[in-house]
Amino acid sequence: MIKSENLVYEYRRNTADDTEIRTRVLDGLNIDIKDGQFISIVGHNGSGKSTLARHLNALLTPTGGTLWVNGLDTSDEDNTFSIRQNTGMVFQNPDNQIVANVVEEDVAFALENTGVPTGEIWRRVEKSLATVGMLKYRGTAPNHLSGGQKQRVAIAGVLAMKPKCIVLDESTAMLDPGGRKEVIEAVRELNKKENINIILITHYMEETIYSDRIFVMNKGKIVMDGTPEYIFSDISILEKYNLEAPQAIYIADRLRKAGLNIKESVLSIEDLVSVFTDYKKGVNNGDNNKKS
Amino acid sequence: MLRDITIGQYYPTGSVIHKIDPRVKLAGTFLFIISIFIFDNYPGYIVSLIYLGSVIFISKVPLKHILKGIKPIIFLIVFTAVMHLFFTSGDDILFEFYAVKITYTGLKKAVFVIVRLLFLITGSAIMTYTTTPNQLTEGIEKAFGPLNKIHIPVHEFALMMSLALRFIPILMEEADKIIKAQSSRGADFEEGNIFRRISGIVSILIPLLVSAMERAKDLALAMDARCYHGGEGRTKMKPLKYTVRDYISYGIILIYMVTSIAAGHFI
Repeated sequence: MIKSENLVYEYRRNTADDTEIRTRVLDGLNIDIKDGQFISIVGHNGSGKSTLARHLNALLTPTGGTLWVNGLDTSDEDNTFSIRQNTGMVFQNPDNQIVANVVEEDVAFALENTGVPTGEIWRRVEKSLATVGMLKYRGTAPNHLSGGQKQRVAIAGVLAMKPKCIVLDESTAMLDPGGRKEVIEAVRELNKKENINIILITHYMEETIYSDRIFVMNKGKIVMDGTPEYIFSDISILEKYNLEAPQAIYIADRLRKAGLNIKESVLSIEDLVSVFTDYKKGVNNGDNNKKS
Repeated sequence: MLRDITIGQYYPTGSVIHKIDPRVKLAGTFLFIISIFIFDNYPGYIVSLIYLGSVIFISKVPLKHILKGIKPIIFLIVFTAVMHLFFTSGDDILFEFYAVKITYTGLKKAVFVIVRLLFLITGSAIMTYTTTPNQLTEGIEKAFGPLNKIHIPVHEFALMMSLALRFIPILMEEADKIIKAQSSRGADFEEGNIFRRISGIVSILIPLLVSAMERAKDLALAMDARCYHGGEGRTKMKPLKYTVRDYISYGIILIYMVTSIAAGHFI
C-alpha cells in the first residue's frame, strides 16, 4: 500500500554567486495505491514520473510532505531497508543493473545483501527464475542474453526479495518490441498470479491498456487519474500533455468522429478487430433482413 | 587486437585442477613464483618443470593454447635475456669480439632469466586458465578476509574487481560502436604519424569514459535499490568450502616447496 500526502521534491543547486536555484520536480502529490493493483504512470519527459518512482523505494526522500510505503515513512532512515525489500525496482538500462557475471548469482545479489542463509538463497533464486521463465539460463553470463531476457533477470532479482510491489522505471524503453512484450507479459503474470503490486512507468501508451489505473503526470502534478477507459475516452486532453494515445484507440476515435458507432471500451488492437468483425456481421445481417 | 590475447582467459575443461578451491590455487601460484626466484641452479628448475608440467597435463589445457598465450611476451623475454647476456661483467670470458664481451656468468644469467620468466608466466597463466574470474575474486576476498580487521576494505575491493570484469565486454562493445561512429564521420585511426593516431584515440576514450561514468551512476543506484550496504552482514550464495581435494593439494604444494628448495640448494 502506498500513500502520499502533499509529496514535494525539489532539486537544489547553487549558482556561482551563491544563490540557490530550486527546481520543483514533484509538486504536491496525493496518491493512494492499494495492494495488488497494476498501476501505470505516464507523462512527457520531465513530468517527474521517474522521480516519483525513486521515491517509492526510498532512493530519494521527499523534501516536503510525506510518503508512506506499507505504512512506513520513507524519510525515516530506519525504514529504508525494509522499504527496499518490499518495493523492488527495475531500471531502464538492462546492462547497468546486473551486478554479477552469472545469471543466478545476480538474482542472489539482494538476498546476499540482506543476509539470507545460503540454502534459502538457492531455493528463492530457483523459484524466482522459474517464475519469469529464465531457469534454463541460470548458469549463463548476462552478456549472452537479449535485452528482454536481461530485464526478466532483473525482475527475478527483485522478485527473490519477495516484494509486495515492483516498480518498473521505464524498464521497456531500451528494448525492441519483442523484448517489451516479454517484460510486460512477465509483470502481468506476477500481478495476476502472485498478487504483486506493479507500478509501470512508461513512454509506451500501448503498455498501459491492461492496467487497473493510470496516472497521467505533467509538470510534477498528477493531472489525470483513472481506468484506461476513462483516460483514453478523450484523446484531445492527452494531446494537451504531449501524449499520444495507443494506435487502436486513435483509430477508434477517428472512426467515431467519422460517424461510426464504436463502443468506448475499445483499447487494444484485438478489441478493434473484434469490433470490426461484429460490425461486418451486423452489416451482413442488415442486408439479409432487407432481402427477406 | 584485444581478442588475440589468450593469456588470462578461462579455459574450461572440467579437470580436477579446475575444481580445486581458488584459495589453494592462489597460494600455490604465489609459492611457485617465490620458489623460482630463490634458487639459481639447474636441479631446482628441473623439479619446478616437473611440477609445472604435471599441473598443465592434469589441467588438460592444451600446450598449444598455453604457448599461444606466451607469444606476445616473447619479445620481452628475449630482450631481457640479451641484456643479461651482453652486460654481465665477469672474468670467465667465453667470447670476445671488439667491445662485445660474453661471459659464462652472463650466459648462465640469461638462461635463468628466460626460464624464470617462462615459469612465472606459465605458472600464473595456468591459474587463470583454470579459475573463473568470479572464483578468483571470491578466493581473494576470502583469503584476505582477515585484513578487514585492520580496516582494509577487502570485500569492496573484491566487488570492484568483479564489477570491472562484468563490464569489460560491455565497454569493449561500446568502444567498438564509438570507433564505428567516429570512422563514419571521417576519423582515421589507421594512418598518420604517432601523434595523429594518439589524438584519434582520444576521440574514442573520452566518449567511452563519459559512458562508463553514466553506467557507474546507474549501477550504484541499482545496487542501492537492492539493499547493498557493504560487506557487513552479507551471506553468500556459493560460499567457499575446503574439501579433501583441497587439503591434498595444499600437501602437494608443501612437498613441492620442500623438494624444489632442497634440490636448488643441496644438490
